[in-house]
Amino acid sequence: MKKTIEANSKMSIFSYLKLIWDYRFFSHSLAIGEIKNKYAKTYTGIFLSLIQSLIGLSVYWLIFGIAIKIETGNIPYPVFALPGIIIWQFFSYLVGTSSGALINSEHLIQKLYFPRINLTLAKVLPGLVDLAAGFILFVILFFIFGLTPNFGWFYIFPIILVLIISGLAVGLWTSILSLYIRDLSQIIIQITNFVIFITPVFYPGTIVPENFRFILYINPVAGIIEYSRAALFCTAIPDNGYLIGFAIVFILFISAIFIYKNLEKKITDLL
Amino acid sequence: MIQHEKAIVIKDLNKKYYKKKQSSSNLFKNIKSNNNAESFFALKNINLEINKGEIIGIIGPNGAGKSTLLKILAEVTPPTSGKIEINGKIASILEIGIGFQPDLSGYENIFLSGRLYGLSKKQIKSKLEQIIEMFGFADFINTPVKYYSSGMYMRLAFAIITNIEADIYLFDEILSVGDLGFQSKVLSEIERLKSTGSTILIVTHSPKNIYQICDKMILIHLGDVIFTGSPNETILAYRNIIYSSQNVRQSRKSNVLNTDILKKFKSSDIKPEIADFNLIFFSISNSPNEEGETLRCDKDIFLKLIFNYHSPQDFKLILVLQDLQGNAINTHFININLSHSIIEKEIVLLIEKNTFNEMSIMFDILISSLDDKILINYRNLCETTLESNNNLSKLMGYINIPIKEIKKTRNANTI
Repeated sequence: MKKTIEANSKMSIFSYLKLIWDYRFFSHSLAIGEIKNKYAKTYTGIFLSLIQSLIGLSVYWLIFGIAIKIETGNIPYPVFALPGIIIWQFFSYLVGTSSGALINSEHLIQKLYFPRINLTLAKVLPGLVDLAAGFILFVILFFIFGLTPNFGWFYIFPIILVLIISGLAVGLWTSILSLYIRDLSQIIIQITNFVIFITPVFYPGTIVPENFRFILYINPVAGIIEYSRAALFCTAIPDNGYLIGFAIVFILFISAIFIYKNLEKKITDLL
Repeated sequence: MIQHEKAIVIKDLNKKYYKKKQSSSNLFKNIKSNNNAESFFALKNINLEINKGEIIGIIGPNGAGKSTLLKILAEVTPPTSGKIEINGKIASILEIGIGFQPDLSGYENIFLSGRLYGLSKKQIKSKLEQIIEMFGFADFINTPVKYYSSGMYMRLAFAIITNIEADIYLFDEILSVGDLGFQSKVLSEIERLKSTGSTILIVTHSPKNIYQICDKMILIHLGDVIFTGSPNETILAYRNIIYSSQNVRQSRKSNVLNTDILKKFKSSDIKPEIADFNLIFFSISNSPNEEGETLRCDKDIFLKLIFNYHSPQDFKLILVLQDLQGNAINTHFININLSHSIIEKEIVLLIEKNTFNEMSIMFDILISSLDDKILINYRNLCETTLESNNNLSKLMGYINIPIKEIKKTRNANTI
């Protein structure tokens, strides 16, 4: 085995992707550790997050479903709102934890060789566990309210894939930017608290006037929520404007991987 | 001469760092300051060749660049310029137990850690029993490692390290953790690795633990390789560096101390500057050039002293060999004539065989003026047991006695 270490060694994108793939065990272990840390400690385990979601849902039901009476067709408000809430939770979790992914692992980065991007990628799995738990809750509510499932549900899998890519696109960028802006995680919390209201989480996108729709179009999460509702409730397919958001995150995702590839070795010194 | 196969070849290696200020929240400022920031070289033009199968100790004071060198070899950080060729599978252990996930069990961490060291899942499985046996707490293997005691944690990490089967090992300060038992385990493991033909690089700032096992040592200071050679020579060079840098730091302090000494010496007419005598190195052996493995009193004994001093006048160095009761057996006088104000001098002294048959001896070094007024007395410099026929372990001392500790003068008559 022969290896050469050089100052400005360039790596092709394919060998970089292979390197990430070779270190998937590392991301996997980090993710499992995080999941265990999150759930194994509490007695109620995964049910705690379900109870949390239920309490949150009841509050939103009271405000938006009963007090404000948002029009959701013939779908009961809790069932209507839940997919949006769990999708938003996944997205904000991924973006929020990514901003600290590199900085909080400084010790590991200083002492171990591994593709740094895997630290951020490791955040996907714990988010998916919450997403799955939320989906189980959704299925239960769905049947409690006497609705019947349809084949549109299979579309949920490609939608989740787009969701993961969107979360990663923003997450990877925030993790890189957090090297330069140290209090980025604080800023991200403020931004997500605000953006949740201009995203159709608690209301259908159709109630937004045409003039302001573009705000939803450039927001990938808006599109994901709208498409998931169309799939789950077999309602009308949202307009094509939402694809703009998907295009944006796709560009962000690809560019983030390239940036990571070029920055990979310098991250140790940037910390 | 046999052409050695090279394990690592380092060519013109440089590493530049930027002096960072406390990170400000302003993105633009941060990016800008990165361009304008003051830079310094943590490593300057390093050229090294490391032969296969050697144990190399890399020593140097804190901040010398040792760890940076290891980090570059471990690919944790890239070099600024230069090239490194590595022949063989390399395992970098920059910290024992690094990479362990506290929430995962010992079993899961064996796989995680093993794979980070470049083993495949299959290889780890085949060594699993061996690792768990070495770990010694098989009952705890399914417990998350965050509940382990620090001793168990290190034992598990070490059990994994010994099963990596790399060609080249990098260890950073591995002996500065753990108790004595752990350290001796590490040392014997390093020797075992050597016997299998592995190349080993050990970085440390306390070379006394590793000099017996090293084939060679490399001294790094301020980013430069300033000395390469046998462990003993390198340690000597290292002591000199530490000594001289301490001197610079204490220059202000020593003025105060000098006036203290002035008071003590008021009775004699000798000027106090002679007190600036520092013993840097002291060794005793049966051969004039090398440190022998044993010391025998039925052979000639060579004493080697290296010291530096600052004195306005000539003085005498008196070496007194005593038995443990304080009776002088043998006294040597060496006259030091001054040619410069600060001189570093090496003296090799021969003590003829069978000079003493005592079971134990002591050395005193006294410094006196030419009229035999004693100024400084290093008492009990070195105390050792000599047996006329039995082998003794090597005796080597490094003495760096702060001026404060110098004992009060004694009258020459008491010798």
